[in-house]
Amino acid sequence: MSTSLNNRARPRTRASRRENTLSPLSGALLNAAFLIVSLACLMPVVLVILVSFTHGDAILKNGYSFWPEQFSLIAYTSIFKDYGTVAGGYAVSIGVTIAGTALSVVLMALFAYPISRGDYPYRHAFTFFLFFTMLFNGGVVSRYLVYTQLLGLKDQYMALILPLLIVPFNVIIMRTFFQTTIHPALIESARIDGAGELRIFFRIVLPLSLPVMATMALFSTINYWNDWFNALLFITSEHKYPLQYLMMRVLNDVQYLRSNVELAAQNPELLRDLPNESLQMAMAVVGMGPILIVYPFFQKYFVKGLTVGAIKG
Amino acid sequence: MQHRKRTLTFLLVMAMLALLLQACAGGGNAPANNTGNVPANNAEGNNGGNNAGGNNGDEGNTTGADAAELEPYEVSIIYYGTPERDVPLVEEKLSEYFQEKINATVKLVPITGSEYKQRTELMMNSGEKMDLVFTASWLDFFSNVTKGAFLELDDLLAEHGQGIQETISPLYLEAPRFEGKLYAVPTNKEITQSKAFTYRKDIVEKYDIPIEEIKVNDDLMPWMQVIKENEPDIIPNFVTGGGGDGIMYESRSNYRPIGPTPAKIAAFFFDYTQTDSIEIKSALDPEIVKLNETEFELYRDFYEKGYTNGDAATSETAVSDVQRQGKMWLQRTVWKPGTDIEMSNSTNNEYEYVSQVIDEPIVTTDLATGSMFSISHTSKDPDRAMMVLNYLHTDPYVVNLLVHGIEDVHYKKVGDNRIEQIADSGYGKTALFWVVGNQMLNYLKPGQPDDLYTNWIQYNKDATRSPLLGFVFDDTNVKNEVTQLTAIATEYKAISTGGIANPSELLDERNRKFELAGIEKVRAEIQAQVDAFLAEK
Amino acid sequence: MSQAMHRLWKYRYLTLMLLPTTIVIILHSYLPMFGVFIAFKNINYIDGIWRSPWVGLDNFDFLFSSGSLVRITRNTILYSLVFMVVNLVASVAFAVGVNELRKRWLARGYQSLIILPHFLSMVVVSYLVYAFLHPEHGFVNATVLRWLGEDAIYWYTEKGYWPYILVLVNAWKGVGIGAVIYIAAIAGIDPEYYEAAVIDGASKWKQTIHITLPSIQAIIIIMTILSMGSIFNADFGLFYQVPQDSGALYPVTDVVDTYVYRSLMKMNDIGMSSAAALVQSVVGFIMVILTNWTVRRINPEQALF
Repeated sequence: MSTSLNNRARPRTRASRRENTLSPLSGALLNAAFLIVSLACLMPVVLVILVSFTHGDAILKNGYSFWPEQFSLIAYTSIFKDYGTVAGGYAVSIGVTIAGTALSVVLMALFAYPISRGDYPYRHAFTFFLFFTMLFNGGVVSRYLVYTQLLGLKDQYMALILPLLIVPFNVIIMRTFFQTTIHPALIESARIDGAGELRIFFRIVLPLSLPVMATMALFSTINYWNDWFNALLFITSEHKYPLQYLMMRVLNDVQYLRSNVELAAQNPELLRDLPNESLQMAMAVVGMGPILIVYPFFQKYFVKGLTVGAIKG
Repeated sequence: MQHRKRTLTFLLVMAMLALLLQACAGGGNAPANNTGNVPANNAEGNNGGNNAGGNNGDEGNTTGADAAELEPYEVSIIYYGTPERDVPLVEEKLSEYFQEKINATVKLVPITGSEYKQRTELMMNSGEKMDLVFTASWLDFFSNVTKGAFLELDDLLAEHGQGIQETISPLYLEAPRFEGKLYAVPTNKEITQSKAFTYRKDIVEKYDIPIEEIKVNDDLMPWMQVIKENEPDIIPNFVTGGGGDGIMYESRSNYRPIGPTPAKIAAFFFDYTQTDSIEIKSALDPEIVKLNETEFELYRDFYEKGYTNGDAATSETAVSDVQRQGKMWLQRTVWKPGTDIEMSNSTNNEYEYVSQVIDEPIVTTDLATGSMFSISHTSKDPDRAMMVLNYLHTDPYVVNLLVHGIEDVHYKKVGDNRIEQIADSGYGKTALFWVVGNQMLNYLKPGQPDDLYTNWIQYNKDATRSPLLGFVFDDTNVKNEVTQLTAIATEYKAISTGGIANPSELLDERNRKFELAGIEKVRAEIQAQVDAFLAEK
Repeated sequence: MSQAMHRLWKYRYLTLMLLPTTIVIILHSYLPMFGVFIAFKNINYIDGIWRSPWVGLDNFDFLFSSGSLVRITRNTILYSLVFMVVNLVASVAFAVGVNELRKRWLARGYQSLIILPHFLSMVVVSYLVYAFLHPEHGFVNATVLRWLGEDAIYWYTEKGYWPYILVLVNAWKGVGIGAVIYIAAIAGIDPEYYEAAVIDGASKWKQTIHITLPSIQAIIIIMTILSMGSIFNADFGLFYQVPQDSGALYPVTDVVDTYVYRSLMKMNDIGMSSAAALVQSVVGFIMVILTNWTVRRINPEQALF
């Protein structure tokens, strides 16, 4: 660690970089391993997509198949038949995700930084204050009471944003990143140069922490995008529901009817429009589609050595 | 040392801050509790506590009430149904109508099936204002009653619910009672159900199957073989993992389930033909064990002979899907007049069905409380809520508006009392007919016979009254035992499907666990409560 | 001015930075904390949460007098520990490996693919697993075992396989997203170290052991401490939906969360469910404190607090 601020000249030539790579054999082995793992992760998703394009009857007959016997768009046409609702759901999801992520990353960083500072006298207390909420919570009923009766958040978009703003786990990870990547001497020298705390944070700490900020932004985005439970609790207007909730509602109803056989038996009509697995998979695809393109967007911040070099260079 | 002290001070300050804020929260909460208490007191006898109610009570008849005399009020209706696009339109229409009649508007709050229990219990727990709330035995109606969720309705019904009392079978009003008091009004439909074997008509005709002679599962054996040999596309005995007990008790004995059914497994029984003293038996009783063993071994036999689908123990495939595919010839159904046609409709009329009822339909508390409306203790105007409920039971316009939507927008009238729904109209897709008010006021839909409702009325009349109708088990004293029985019952639920080897051994194992979990204590508690119930009568 | 006041003033900016988040935490987490008391009450709707009667520890009975207590405790804790170790090793291995790839586009491709499973909901995952393990037309029975000439296996009634299946599914779903943190951590390592190592002639393996792992050690330790907090919690979807809630598998799939769900689903008793949640929290809390204490003894720098 101590050498990181050493101003020793570094031979950063292309030649030295190339030297520091794996032997061709190890490289090939590593690639082969990654290829297998990646396929294991990719194929099921491909299967989900293919099933969503397969006719329900064919699924019932043959199970899932990579070679659909009966190609069909019926699942998608029935989802987008009510395109107004789907479009509305997308709009709410995107809005909440963007606003929530932006707010969340800023707030988490503002908390994580002070508690990462070895000289900040209240760091243990605040860390504990945060950590405690990770384990103990009052449960759904009391949260519902506070949200609806005290904060007046029933049927408000804020009720979708607030619950996921601060994820204690992520704040503590962030704190650890700040501790390991930001050397105290760096802050000390900035202070000697006359920079205030806020300036140090925004001008030195944040730029140095792009990988972790990107990581947290990614986590927040995923969190907000996938959240449907808070919508179930707090949203009552049909047009304010996020997309994932609308999709999950159908999936949950299917599960519910299947596990309540006698209810369905008494009312066969409940089962008539029960979505088949093709439709369920199509909903999964519609629900996760946009989020899949998010990762490559964040990825560019994970490039090795980008940050430290940039600051010092 | 220094550091620890600092942390301590900090924590103290935070704790005080939190407490202070909580106190505020508590203060904010108190009024809600107070208002909650008013109708509760109301229910205990002095029904005139409410202005609107007092005025109206003098006239004694809702339909005659003068709208102008009533303060405007919004009646919220929380019911079991998937929200649809045009709910606001229907809400507006209904409000228009009610405004004119009783100066009330309505707020429709449909909640989808999978969320209904959770959401409504959350609303109850937080004391939110609700008026009419859909409830049912399978939605923990009775436990919600013991927790004080609903108002006592006897007086309200007498005052504003004459229409209901005139139309509904009196048996209905015997069931949703706790300690003798009425807490809900059942939806007027078929009051009970029979157990039946339902067959695909074309198969029955093709092989000339004598369905009147098939009374128990054993009788099916030869026909399963015939189907297996001749109909390769059909699964002779389709069973799903959540199968439960099938129809064994009804077909083989006079025993009927009573008390808690952990994980939907019948664990306690009584003989419904007994009249004066009723003996409660548990799943450990030798007679019941014998019944179980016979049936489970038979199912295992079916499975081993290849009649049953291989994934019987875990299958979650919806029966309706398999049915539509033409892969089933036999189903064990709950039956009421019209079931055969409903089933045919659900396969888009591709197949016709014929049923053979195998038991005598009896009216039990559970069945008669399968679909009801209660009035929440948080209602600010229970009288008006009851008036609206009365309309739901008596006024065809109101019922059909709520169930089918607006004429020519959501459905077309094709006959005097007959409609056709307009596809993708934005309303009427979710099934509400069995949820609200009086189903017998519903317009008929394609496929339903003209005499459907008269058949129901007859069926309701003919049904035998269970000697324990109106009895409700209060599990307060045996909560622990019931939770444990539930956990055990789920673990072994698949033994009835045949998909698992050695069902008798597993049954034995289950029953031993039941014994350890205190099944006898629960049985004794049911017996005591049943005795008390009968003594009171 | 006292020393304390002086310190407060000196760090006023840092404290100010903390404040907005602190308020959010109070609003979202501390205000509803009174719900913890529900575990000691018998709630009825007339009295509401505040005035319902206290019942002491009654609500905890169902959990502790349960015949399944040993089983669910053992399953929950063992799975948590195994998941923790397997996912940690796999995520770190992935992160280190991907960092060594010469072709950046390949590295990016692998990273993108491996997090895909994270986006599938457990319901969908359970369908996929079912498609694999279906007794008749599942991929394994219908294709693999038939091809090998083996008899079909009734996966959903054979409990012996499930510990492995669950660990595999959990890793498959979690490693990709878990690795992101380590990839970010490795990205933060100063390249100077590696350059110096190359000059010293250190092999790739040596670099990993002596530079990469020590540099991300702090984050590994924190992740471990934090996951100790959820040692008595289990992923409900994984243990309920993926094994299709098959009773024959309960000996190896029943965990606290599924047990509580199954026992209470017909009960509508928030007292009992709060009690179960409180027990989980307390166990997690004790585990974190113990782990933290141990870390603290070894290296105070890397402790949580």
